[in-house]
Amino acid sequence: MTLLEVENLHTEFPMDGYTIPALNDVSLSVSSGEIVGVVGESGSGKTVLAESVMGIVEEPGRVTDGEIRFKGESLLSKTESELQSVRGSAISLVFQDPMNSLNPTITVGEQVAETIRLHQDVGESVSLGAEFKRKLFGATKHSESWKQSIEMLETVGIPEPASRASSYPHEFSGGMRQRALIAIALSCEPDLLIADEPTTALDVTTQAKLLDELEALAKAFDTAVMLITHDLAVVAEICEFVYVMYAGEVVERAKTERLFGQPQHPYTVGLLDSVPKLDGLTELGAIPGDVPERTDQIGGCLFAPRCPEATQECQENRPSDRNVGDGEHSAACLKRGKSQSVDMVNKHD
Amino acid sequence: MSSSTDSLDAADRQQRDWFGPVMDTVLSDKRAVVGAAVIGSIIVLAVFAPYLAPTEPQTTYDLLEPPNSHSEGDFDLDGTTEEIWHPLGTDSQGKDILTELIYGARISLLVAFATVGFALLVGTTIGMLAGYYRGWIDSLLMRYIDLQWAFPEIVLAVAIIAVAGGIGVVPVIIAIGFGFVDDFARLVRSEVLKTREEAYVTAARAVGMRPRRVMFREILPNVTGTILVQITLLIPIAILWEAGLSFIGMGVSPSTPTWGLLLADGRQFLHEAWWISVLPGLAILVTVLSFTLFGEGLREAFDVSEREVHDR
Repeated sequence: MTLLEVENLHTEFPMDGYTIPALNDVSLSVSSGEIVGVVGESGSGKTVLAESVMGIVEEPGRVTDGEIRFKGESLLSKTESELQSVRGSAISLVFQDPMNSLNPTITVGEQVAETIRLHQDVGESVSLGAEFKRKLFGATKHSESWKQSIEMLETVGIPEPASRASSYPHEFSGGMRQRALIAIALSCEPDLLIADEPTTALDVTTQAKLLDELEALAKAFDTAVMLITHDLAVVAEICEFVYVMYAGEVVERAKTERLFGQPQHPYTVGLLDSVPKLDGLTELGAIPGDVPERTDQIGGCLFAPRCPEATQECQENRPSDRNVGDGEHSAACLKRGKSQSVDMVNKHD
Repeated sequence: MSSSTDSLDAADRQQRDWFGPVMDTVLSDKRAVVGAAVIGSIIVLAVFAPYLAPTEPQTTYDLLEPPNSHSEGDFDLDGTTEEIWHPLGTDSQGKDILTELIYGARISLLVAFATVGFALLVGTTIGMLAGYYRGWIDSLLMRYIDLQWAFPEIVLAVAIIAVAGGIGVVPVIIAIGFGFVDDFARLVRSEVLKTREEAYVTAARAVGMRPRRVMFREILPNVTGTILVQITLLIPIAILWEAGLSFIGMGVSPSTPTWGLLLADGRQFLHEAWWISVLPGLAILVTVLSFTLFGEGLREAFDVSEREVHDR
């Protein structure tokens, strides 16, 4: 079943006198229980995509066109208060910065408990007055939400959760903070977890361990995961389907094995080449140039200025999705496949 | 439990809250300790004034007695003559100055705390809304604050007292407190602007918290340190304002003993009885100085970079 459908999404940031199109015609879909990767360089619009889905794009940015459907319902037409009950309960977000994503003035256990109180009816008032009263009289630690919070911390692998729950975030290591964030995100058993670079701030061993755990947790909670990362190794590890983003557009989509086996878009090829290999023979590839300033009015393919295969045609015409190989693999490149009329988004469920 | 875990627990507990380290820094600062001690004594004097004052506040004795003198007479109307010692002398109406100073501390502190409390409430709300929502709400609120800031505070205070229908504790509190609203609003706004960009604020919104909750549960506790310092720095100014308003006759009622009123009262007898003006002046000076010293200590304690320098 298709859980999340993003169709032709445009998110723009109007600045003084010009507009930055952070997302340009982005389409993707995530099915229940599936782990989908979104890969791209810094500035490719990955985080804005996550924020757009959650409806928390910072002013002055806003979604200008397109559709986001969650379980068939449009999220864009929901009111702010309807969205507040979706956030954290049906869709939750894990941030890329575990060091700063926990409030330094609230204990870790309380931060998990608070999310549980907000979204699950555990018979505890969540009014501000009630919260202050609980804090003042220390009633927090006997509450149902606190018990569930400890269970959750245990589930994500925090040792001695009962005593660690009353620690403040600065007493946690980076890996433990990220686990705590995952605990918050999973505490209400969401259908979709958006993980925005969840392992970037961690060292490689912790990273691998956490990814395995994330995968296992997603299975256990039957949660679909949209994993946003710049790290192809992460994608290869746990994702079933991959979207490659470049300059606010999805340039290639394919099943993971196929993308790594037969990358089509020159950008994807470049990305794969820039991963160090241990054979000692291949020279490390790098994509020349930078992601274009999005204020530049580029008529043709956004990747053309950096593309080794670019021709006059690429400078002038904007490529659309083309089928390259089986029905689920497409790339937005004029040099590949044939132009297709079928909307690829709904194809791969 | 083994001793090693005990010491670990102790270290853990010490690190657990900010209160410990902040208090450590404040206590290592001698000026702050002196300030805190004096403030503490003044608060005790004010609270227990009826028990600590040597005489009744309204009883009158011999006029214009110098410090360390005595009045003789039947002051408690029991038919016998008694001798009353005036360690700080009496004023032009024959009231004991030490008693007046002790009772005056009540008004001074009450007005100071209440005005700062009022400004804190209004100013923090304005600053929080402006900083959190930004945009037109910010422009509107901050233009108002600019307007208020550009207006002479003394004129504003006198105008508010006039509008509020004459002198009394509440009009004075509102009049002085109003002048401090902008101090809190500006400070809180700038802190909120900084804090709202923190990842945990975005994270709070991402778990579905409503703006009010984000503002008061997530942002406010992270701004408390700065607000606390501002409070201790504004209290002495409030004490000065109260004394000033009393001095020009716009303070709390003329029959209530306040330091400012006593100061004004003694002005005309400055040559004959210097103590009537000088002693309440000293009381104001000591109180203001103590709050300032304590506030400075607190400010340094909250300033992490300076705390590191202290530690080294």
